[in-house]
Amino acid sequence: MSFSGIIRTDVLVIGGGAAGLAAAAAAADVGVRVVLVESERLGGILCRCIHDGFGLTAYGESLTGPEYASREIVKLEGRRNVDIIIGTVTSLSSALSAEVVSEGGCFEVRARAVVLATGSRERAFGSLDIGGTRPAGIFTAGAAQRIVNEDGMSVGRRIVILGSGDIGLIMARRFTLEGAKVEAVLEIAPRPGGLARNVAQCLGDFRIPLELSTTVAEVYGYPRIEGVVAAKVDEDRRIIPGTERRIACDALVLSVGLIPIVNLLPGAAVDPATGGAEVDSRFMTTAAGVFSCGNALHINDLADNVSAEGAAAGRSAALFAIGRLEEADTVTVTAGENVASVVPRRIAVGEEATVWVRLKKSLVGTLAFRDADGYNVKDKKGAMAPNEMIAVTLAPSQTTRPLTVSAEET
Amino acid sequence: MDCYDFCIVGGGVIGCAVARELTRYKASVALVESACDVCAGASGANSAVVHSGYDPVPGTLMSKYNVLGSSMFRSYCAALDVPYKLTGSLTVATCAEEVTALSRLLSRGVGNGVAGLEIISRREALELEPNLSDKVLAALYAPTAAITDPMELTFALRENAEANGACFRFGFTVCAARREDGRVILRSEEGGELAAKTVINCAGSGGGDVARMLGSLVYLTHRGGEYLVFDKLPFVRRPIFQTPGPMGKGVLVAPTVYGKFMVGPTAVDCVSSSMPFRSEAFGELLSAAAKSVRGLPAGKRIAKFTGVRALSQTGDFIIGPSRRGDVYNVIGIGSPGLTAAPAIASAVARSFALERRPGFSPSRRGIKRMAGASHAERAALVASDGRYGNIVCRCETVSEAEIVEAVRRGARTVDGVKKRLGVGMGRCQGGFCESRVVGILARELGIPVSRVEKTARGGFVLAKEGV
Repeated sequence: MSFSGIIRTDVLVIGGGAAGLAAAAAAADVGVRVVLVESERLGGILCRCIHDGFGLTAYGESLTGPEYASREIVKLEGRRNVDIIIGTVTSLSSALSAEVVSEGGCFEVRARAVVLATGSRERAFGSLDIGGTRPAGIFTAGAAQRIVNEDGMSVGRRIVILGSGDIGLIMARRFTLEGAKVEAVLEIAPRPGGLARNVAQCLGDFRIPLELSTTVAEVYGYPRIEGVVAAKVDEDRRIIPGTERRIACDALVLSVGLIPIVNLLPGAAVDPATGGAEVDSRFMTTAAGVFSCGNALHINDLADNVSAEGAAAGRSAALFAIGRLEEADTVTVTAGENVASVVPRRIAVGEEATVWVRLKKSLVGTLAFRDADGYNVKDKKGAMAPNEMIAVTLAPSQTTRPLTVSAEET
Repeated sequence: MDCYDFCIVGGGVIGCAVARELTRYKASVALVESACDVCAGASGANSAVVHSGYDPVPGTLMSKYNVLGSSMFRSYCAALDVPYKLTGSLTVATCAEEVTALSRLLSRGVGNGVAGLEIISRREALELEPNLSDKVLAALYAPTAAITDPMELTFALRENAEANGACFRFGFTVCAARREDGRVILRSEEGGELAAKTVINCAGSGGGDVARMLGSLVYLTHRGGEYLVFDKLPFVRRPIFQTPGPMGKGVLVAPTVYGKFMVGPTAVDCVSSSMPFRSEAFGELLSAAAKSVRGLPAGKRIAKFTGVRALSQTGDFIIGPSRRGDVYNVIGIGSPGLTAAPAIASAVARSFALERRPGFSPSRRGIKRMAGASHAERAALVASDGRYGNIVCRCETVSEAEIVEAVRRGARTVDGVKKRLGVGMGRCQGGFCESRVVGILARELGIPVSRVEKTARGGFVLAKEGV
């Protein structure tokens, strides 16, 4: 297929992973014209997630990533109002014009609304305070996942994993199943970064050691990595002298965090707490007509949640495109005590809204939404931890005043 | 055995520039390099600054070639299609003694022939650079300073030298030399031999070893510099130096021609030609930079690197023939070696008083790039080759077609592609694209994916298929 010139559409969805697929389907359901641009392959990161656990919420069964992706892709098939383009969006203007580069041509897409579903990138080796050589054999967990699961190659035989994010935990199990030895998973924090179920199923079941409050101080070996110097850290994450020890390995895999990709966001505000765009409860950023969802918005734990966000953002974008998303007054939601981030930051007054909260620390207590007078309009009780995102749905009657979310220990 | 009029040892910016200059004349030219590509050492790991020339001691080779090189750089880059941005530079003073030192630097610069130098007030400096630290009292403004891409320059010099007939041999690590029938025979660790009437030693950090193999008793010391690289951000507009002290030029904060910026270097004496990045360097660099700038965005750091320079014991460049006359040393080229390269190369080549060769072509065109191209230019590139439409590196907007062309021009490793195109130098640091680059390299080089190397021989990116 060859393109040139200008393509006009109601909704442009950028990214064909879990968020973008759901956004495109939901927008198409409204009946508007949709163009979805995906840079590599529909399904995005799901294609490399061959483990199961996807779809428990959305489909009530445990699917692999590719299975989950295919269910989402099917929803777009045979739709006359959806065009899918494999290409890269290189820029997006605030007038909602996007430049698309594809093997079939280089063209412009002009939309009435845009959904940014561009996902996240991984924190890379270069941004970490790890000294030593710069050898081959250092990978981010997602890159290693692609190499092993999509390309059928191997990153190493004796592997050290730094960071206990979900992808790192899943890859620890995957490497082990592939016959490699995972020497250790090191975590700088005093608690694991990923979901509890992944710590149990990916490390515990395979007797892979998890060392908390431990980091990599240095890597050694050249031109290929030969090992790392691991060290204990104190409460301020400073290396405790004398605790250094060498671990021989031929690959170091990093699972030290994901960062929303926001480089296409045309001049809209970014929330420093999430790294993603600041949105309202309809997923619209501070740039009119530009919506954001999924890991491009904030880092999610579960693909099912990403799909739900994508669907909501896609529907909003479609309504905006045809002038049916009525402007609403908004109230703010602010992160209070023990709360690291809250999405969305603004809620349309008198509309039902789901709020996603991430905590700064583990605690047992109450997550309370209070108004300026301290009145608790909604709460959720129990044990809560930073590695599990908390979703709270507020009823229309609860979204009439500015709220502060706090996690109060009991 | 092949015999050349000249054999250059070392494929850094100096060696490649000398090779290119010699192809202006009627002479056969070879260049041998131990790595699989040019730009394997300090030429790819430095501040990327074209220094104005106020700093070197008057009367030294450093001062002569710095000022001359700086004046040649713009047209040199234009001919070779290499980025050059005339930014000027600031050298900041943060205490009374340093303010006095600025005056000394000014008069030294004037003595060296540097044009346009002036000392400006804190207020004037802040107008030029809003992120200067509160400690800055005054600054020396040098309008002739510039920034460039030293890697692209080195590759351009190689391509232009090759186009003009120079022969490059890689994987040739000189380990011994002997003299036979008025020729010098170089032997490599890898087992090859090559003969030349004159050997030009541009071996960078190995320059001392090569000099001694060829009979000159020269010893070089090595100094490593660590750098941090930050994401694209208009944090500084021009290189910001600190007032040089007994410990060297201090840490600079400098933009790159691609919009990122770097902080460095440290100055660490080291023994080997490659130095690991010291864990303590992170803190040292950030606190040193805080002397010049405020609000350094620590969270925007994306990379780090070290570069090792070989320094002579005289404190000056070593440039000239050995006593036997068949060896010409161009070694101990520390800072400002990049700036001086065009002038050094020209002087070295002219010193042999050769006859001009009429067919010399001084110009070279770079790889046609998607990044920075207009929409219409991009459309035309994609129309000419669909692989331009396959964006492999999203951070820096680099396509498959550009990677294929980089391999055609001599990239043999992931880093060879990275240094030519910036693939993997962006904020994702190759997380998204490295395995795709590996696949393209394997295909273009006709080797298994598992044999693709990152930087150096034996540094395979992947383990073998299966575990």
